[in-house]
Amino acid sequence: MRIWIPVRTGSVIGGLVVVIALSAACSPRTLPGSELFAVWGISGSGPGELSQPIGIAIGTDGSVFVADAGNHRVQVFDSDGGFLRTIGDRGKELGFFRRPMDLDIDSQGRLYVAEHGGDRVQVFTHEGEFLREVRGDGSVAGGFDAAAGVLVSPSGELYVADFYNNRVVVFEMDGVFSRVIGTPGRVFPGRLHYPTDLDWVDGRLVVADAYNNRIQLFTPAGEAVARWGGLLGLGIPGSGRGSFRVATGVAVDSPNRIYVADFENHRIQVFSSDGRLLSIFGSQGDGPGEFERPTDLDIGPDGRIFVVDYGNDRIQVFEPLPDSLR
Amino acid sequence: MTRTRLLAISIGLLLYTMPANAGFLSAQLSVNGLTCPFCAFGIEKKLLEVPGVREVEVFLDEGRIALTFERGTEATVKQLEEAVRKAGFELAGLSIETSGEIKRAGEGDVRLVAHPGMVFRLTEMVDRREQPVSAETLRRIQKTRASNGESLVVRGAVSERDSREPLLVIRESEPVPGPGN
Repeated sequence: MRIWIPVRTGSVIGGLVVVIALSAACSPRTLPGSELFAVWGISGSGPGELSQPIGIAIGTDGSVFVADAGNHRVQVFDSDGGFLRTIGDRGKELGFFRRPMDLDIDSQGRLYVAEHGGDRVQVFTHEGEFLREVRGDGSVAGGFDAAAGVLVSPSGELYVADFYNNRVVVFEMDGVFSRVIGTPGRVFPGRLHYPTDLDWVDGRLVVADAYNNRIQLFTPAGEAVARWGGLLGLGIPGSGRGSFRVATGVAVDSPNRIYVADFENHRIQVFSSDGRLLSIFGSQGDGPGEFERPTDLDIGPDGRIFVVDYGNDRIQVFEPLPDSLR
Repeated sequence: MTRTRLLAISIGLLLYTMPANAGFLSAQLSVNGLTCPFCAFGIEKKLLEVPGVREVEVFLDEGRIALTFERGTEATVKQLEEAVRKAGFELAGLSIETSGEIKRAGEGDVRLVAHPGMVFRLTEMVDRREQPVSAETLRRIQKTRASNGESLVVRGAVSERDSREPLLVIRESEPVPGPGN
């Protein structure tokens, strides 16, 4: 396809921008999606029912942990959606929650729960017995203001997406503050604007830089090394391929593909670890395979993709993408 | 004669300097652009940090937030506005239910005094013209109260005039059960 570019002083840059934007938005290549495997969940506050589910983590045994934020609890299901148990309830005490948001499970099966309202991360056994907490304290070093996301790195460090301080706070395995990654801001590399989720790929930290409408990658030491989402990863919201309108959730599968919950676009986008778009699936609605503002996702041991369909109070499960899709 | 009333005041404009202490019972806030749960739970968190706020309920799709207060709270409207701002939003509207007093301040002039420093002049619309509330309206209010115990709800809108005193325009009034009922 040829595109006429007006070659006049002052318009060359504008022409380049047009070309880049069009090439991103109008690529004729058909991207593969993913087949829907199962849908489960029903609105409510009873056992197994969901109200404003927002975060998800899959255990090594395939059990599914859901942050049931509207009910201030974590619910556990088997991989087919059968209800297993509830962890916690509304409250400030240890083992209770005020808006549990994001979950992670470490290599030993321990559950980590980030609380928006409680400014803390609580740690539980796989069965739901409380073990310990890591508390935030506002904007001071080592504090956090609304823990939106949590990640345990392969080395055992605890990473917290610090929503209102626009940064990621890192703790040692024993809960002692280590360092901060990212600074508040827009556009520039390393600047974060309301980060909500974290994961790990190729030894680098993946950050859902939600309201910058982009994904950013950092080294463990905090150097920003890659970013994408819209034009040049500057943070411009959009609904074209590779663009986001609030990138709230992120997950990485075993072939190191990065899945992103594209909240306001009601879809999932999948990228290679260097940011090349591989797959898109989902659209707005409440039918099978449709989403109403997906917030988070995780990958099961068999490669199936579990998506939190926040606005529909349900979990949708998709078949694994082919390993050949790289 | 001064009598204690329970007044629900719908405030169209944000009144930055209005103290919200002592008499505040509940409030409805409206915020534009509130669409995501991270923000909704965030605004809930920030409002719960305001002294005296007991409960926060966010109606995400309506952009509306309902607050209830502890009795005797020392919160102010400015604190509520600041909490919303810290959550990344601007307050677009506010309505407050508070306790207060209705005073006859002069001929044909009735004042709602919700708290010292919180002064409204009651007016009503007659033939599409706003004028001080009539003695007949006042009698109706008082009669309603007298027949229903301790409390009365008055709904209206406050608008800023050239005066320092925001005006409360009565649109409707209705009895509510008193604390003992």
